[in-house]
Amino acid sequence: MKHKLAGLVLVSLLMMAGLGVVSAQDAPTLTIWADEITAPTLQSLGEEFADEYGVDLVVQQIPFNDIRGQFVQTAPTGEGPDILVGAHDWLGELVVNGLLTPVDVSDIADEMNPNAIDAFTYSGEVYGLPYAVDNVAFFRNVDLVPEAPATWDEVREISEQLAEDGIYGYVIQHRDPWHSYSVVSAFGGYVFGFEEGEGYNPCDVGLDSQGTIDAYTFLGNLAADGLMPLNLQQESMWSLFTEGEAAMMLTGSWALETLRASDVNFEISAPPEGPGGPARPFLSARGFMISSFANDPLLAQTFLMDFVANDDVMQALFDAEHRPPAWNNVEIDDEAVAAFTEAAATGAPQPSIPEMGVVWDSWSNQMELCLTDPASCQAESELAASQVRQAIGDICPAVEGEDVTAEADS
Amino acid sequence: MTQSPTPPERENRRGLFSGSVPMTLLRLGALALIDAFAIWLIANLFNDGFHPLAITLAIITLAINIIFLNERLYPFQWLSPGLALLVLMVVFPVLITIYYAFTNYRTGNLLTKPQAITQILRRPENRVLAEGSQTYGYTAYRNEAGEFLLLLEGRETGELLVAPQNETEHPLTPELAGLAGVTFSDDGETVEAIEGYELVPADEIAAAFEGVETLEYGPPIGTVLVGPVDPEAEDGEGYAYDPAANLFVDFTGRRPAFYTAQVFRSGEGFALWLTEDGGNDTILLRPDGPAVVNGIPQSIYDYVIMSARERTASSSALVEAAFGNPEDPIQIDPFSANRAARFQSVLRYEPETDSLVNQFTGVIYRPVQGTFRLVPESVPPDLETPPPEELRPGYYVTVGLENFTRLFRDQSIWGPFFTVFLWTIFHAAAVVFITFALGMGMALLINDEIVPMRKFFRSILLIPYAIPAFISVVVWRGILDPNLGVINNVLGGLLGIAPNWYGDAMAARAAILLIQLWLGFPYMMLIITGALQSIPADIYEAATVDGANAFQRFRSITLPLVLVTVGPLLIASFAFNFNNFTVIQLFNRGGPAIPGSSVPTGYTDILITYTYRQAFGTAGGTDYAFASTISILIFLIVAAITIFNFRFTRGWEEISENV
Repeated sequence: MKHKLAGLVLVSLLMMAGLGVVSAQDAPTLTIWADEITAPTLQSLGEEFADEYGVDLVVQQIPFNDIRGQFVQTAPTGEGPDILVGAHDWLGELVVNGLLTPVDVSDIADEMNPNAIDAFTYSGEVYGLPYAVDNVAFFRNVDLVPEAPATWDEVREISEQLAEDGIYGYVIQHRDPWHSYSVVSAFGGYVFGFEEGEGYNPCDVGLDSQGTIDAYTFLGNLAADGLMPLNLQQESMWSLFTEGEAAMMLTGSWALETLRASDVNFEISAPPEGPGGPARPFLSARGFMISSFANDPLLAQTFLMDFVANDDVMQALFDAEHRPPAWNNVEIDDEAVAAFTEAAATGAPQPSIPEMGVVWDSWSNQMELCLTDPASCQAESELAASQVRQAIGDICPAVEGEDVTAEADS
Repeated sequence: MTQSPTPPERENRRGLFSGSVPMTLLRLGALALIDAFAIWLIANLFNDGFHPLAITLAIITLAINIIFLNERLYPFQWLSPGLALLVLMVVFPVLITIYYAFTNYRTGNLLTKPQAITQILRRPENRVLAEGSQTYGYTAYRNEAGEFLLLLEGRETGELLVAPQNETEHPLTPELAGLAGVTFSDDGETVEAIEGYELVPADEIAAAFEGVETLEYGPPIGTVLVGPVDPEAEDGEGYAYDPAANLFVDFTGRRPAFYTAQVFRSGEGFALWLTEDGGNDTILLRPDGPAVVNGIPQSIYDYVIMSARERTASSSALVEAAFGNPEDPIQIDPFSANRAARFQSVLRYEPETDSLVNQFTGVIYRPVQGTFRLVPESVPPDLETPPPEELRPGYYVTVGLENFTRLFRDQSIWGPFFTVFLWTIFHAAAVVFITFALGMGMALLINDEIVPMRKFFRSILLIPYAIPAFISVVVWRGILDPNLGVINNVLGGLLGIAPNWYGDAMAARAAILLIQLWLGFPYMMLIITGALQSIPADIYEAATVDGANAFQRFRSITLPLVLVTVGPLLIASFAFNFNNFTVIQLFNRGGPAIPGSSVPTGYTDILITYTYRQAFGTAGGTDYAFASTISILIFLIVAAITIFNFRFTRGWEEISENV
């Protein structure tokens, strides 16, 4: 029994030691979650920040696509970061969950692309300091298409001419509404009605608007007439383009590396106009957001305004990534990126309302079915729109039995 | 111990407290180390809010201690690592899943109730500016008693106000600003005159400071040393002025800052107007007023401007402090780097009635299943804009059977359910059948001694099984690409056909089965090879003697005996493929789309990919509660099928008994 007692004493002593480790506290810190490209730039600000504010800057590197999920899981437990780097279309989920605080950018708004700030605006409040934008532009093989087509009708004409040589004209990604919005918006279509100052209105669904149907019928006819292949993945589309088998496509700045590695001679311009006017390609913004569980929200705001929102850091962030910058006063040493930055001026922020979640699937199906069988496009578009309306349902004022009939017809 | 039925000498060899004293101490030490680590982990998890996981770990730790300290539980010592992992990795997730199925844990309801109320009250739309007021930029000061004071600059009117903590604010006078009697040049860059002082011409400065060793100014400048300064020196302290070179140096920053002075003199001493060399900073120092840096007085009354460090150290006190008129205070906005205003809260939480009340309109919100919802009766009839129906964020609570009733009522689940369900069953059954058939063929071939280099082929054929499925599927996706894939190039060249593996329903389903065959046959081959080797050769000899041909031998001996052995594995394979999310999702995300379906659905969707999209959407919302409910439903379906299968396969065992 003596052994036993001694053992229990030893066990409990070590337990105490364990508890001692737990109660040790760290010095005040400001924690930032950033992806592997932005993290080093932020890390370099640490020393100066610690010097001035007596607070350690802790930059934790997390893969970009994991930041949102991990933030949602950990923020309510107090384990999350004070500041996170992310995309504006996360706002819907993060704000609805009460995980973000607004960021006051009023002092520096003049220095930024207003579209980027619009993107980070959610129900009238700005929830992030943007530093870069992602948008699409129109690529063409200059050897095949010397002059940029001004309208989608010209695109079709060029495609018809090239078809005689067995070359595709315009090619588009399979089931990718994000890229197709350039075409949809040029034909006057839309996904959600946009009201200036209010943002997107989830109760005004535009998937079955005439413009949207016209745009997809146009693309579907290109395919039906053998002028455009279907079922292209992004990489397949790029490879058709680089091998000179396709002459025109819409894609983003992330394609530049691949395209430059090939010997295709390409140029970038704004997407062609359509019957509905100029195209408004979707634009998404990346920026810094502040957790509503931040230890010291005031300090987080100060860090963003004093240390990040200036020419030097914005330049460094650009140099690391070469995404079109949101900050006006950044020197762009790359013609193609400059062209993207110009195209970003006419972009429409991709909706960040959480209702977008229910849209992508219906919209992708609509696009696929319309392109495969343009004759069914009217019916499929009405169906997709009714699916979205039904899913959003209860937050919208009832519209006279419209949804129900669309459902019954199918 | 004496009551133990086993003899004492055997007992002694078992327990923790048997053997030599050093051995016992060693073992106790190891247990104690494990405990210390476990407690550290549990405490951390508990602090971070992972309560259920912490409790589970605590129970496991307790059980391990009981097992190791109680000699009668000796046999469990060897089972305990496995049991602990079973509880942690299987039992715990299952219990959590069941728990979530009875909650509303989803986007919009991820917080606890107190967190949700705090966030609702902090939301920007819950804060309005008092009527007729504006927002201010501010500078913070503090006195020795630790009280704060703000110097405010109106964002609209530009007016400057001094707002001490809990005392009515008043305008900033020129005396307080340290600018009384100062005349600036038109461009504001030089000081032309200071009342009561005379300008010392540049060539007389050195003479004027003859015999002066220090200058005293208001905080935070304090003492300035007068004397020769080495401009290269990096390590000076405080402030210094060199009259001979007319150079003022500030050593308090990261790097020394250099200023050129305009010197003024009066009976009280020297006033200095300093402009930074190669910079824009200006400092005005005078013995009868506060130091002014870039137009901001560095002290007001006995309050001294706060450095960045001081502001950071007391930022929560600053945010909570009330400035100016105590009846209607100005507060610092924590959601801006530089903003203060008379904010008024719209909502107030009343704990007695558990409701949020709009203080202006009297509209009331009460919690309904984790969300504060509008009480319609509380809306005054004359309200112009209707108030929002609910307040976000919500919090998570248990909601009883609501998820289950939704599961059975939700049109979006049941609409295309049977199409998906039939394909799910067909897919799982077909995959088991074709992989078994090919695996059997290969196993018979490899098992036959006439095949040369059998071991080599057996190893090669295992490769598809050894490569992770998610890599193989992506490779297959490329091979089957309808426009650029190898397969369509070959088919197009030879037969002139190009099946649309992505876009055509039948082709896509065939593609899925093809990939599954590639991924699955090596496993079947492996287990069947094992089963074949356990069949006694004399049975075949007897059959041959009886005149059975090769097919009859296969049909009556090999197949039934192999099935007896691998039957349970076939059932496991079926259950696995029933939920084979990876292959379906990676190949085509369930596509191609089914035209006219009431919910977005694809031809190759199986239950798990279909419900995954219902629960998690493509972006934005995540509905953990509903996903848990669905996984319980899928578990029930798989369990039912498996039980049925086990009954069915009992037939095979009878065959084996008769052999």
